[in-house]
Amino acid sequence: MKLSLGTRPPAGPASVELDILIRPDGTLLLPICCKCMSAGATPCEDYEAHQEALRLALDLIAEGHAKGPLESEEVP
Amino acid sequence: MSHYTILKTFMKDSTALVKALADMGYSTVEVLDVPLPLYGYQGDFRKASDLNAHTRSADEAKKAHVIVRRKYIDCAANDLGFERLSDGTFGAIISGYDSRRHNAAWVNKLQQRYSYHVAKKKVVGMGFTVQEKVLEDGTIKLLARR
Repeated sequence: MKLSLGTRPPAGPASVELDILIRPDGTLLLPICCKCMSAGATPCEDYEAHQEALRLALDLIAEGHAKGPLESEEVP
Repeated sequence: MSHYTILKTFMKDSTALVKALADMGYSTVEVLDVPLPLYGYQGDFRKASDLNAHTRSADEAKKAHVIVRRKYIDCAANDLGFERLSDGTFGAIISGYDSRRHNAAWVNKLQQRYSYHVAKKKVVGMGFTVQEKVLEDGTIKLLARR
C-alpha cells in the first residue's frame, strides 16, 4: 500500500496523542488506520493523530530508517 | 482494539546505533568514515573471506565502520563490527564464536533500541513530549503528546 498524507487541513491547535509501539524484534507499530492511509477516504475521528503518525512513517521511510508499510494489525 | 501500521526498521544512523550499543552495555564505540580492520581474540585480524578465520595481513582483514573493540566485550571475544552496506544500512559482523553472545535475540534487542532512539528523536523533533514504558512482552510503548 502506498502511503500519502491526507488533504484535509488541520483542525487547529487541539492536543494530539500518539501511541507508538516498538516490538522486541525492532519493528515499529504506528497508529494509522486504513481510512487515514487512503487520502480520498472519509477521515476517522483520530485524523489529526493518524496524520502525525503518517508523517512520522513517511519521514522514517524517506530517511532510510524503515521500509514499508508491510502490513496492518489490530492491537488490543 | 487499535489499528496499527507496521514498519520494519533498518539501522542506518550511526548516532542512533551508538546509543543502542550503549543501551546494550557497550559505551565505548569507534565510529569511522573509513573502515578499519576487526581484530580477533588472538590479536590478529579477522579474515574478510571467513569471519571465523584469522590473518596477519591487514589487506585480507574484514573491516567495519562502527566497532566495539574486543577489550570492551571479553578478553576471549573478537571485535564486534558494523559495516556500512551499499544501501547505506549497517550490517552486523559477528563471528561464529561470538554468535553465542551476540545471537539473533541480541541483534533483535539492538534493533529495538535503535528503533526506539530513532522514533523518539523524530517525535520530539515534531514537538511532542514523550513518556515511555516497557510492556510485559518486552514491547516499548512511547506515548507522545502535543
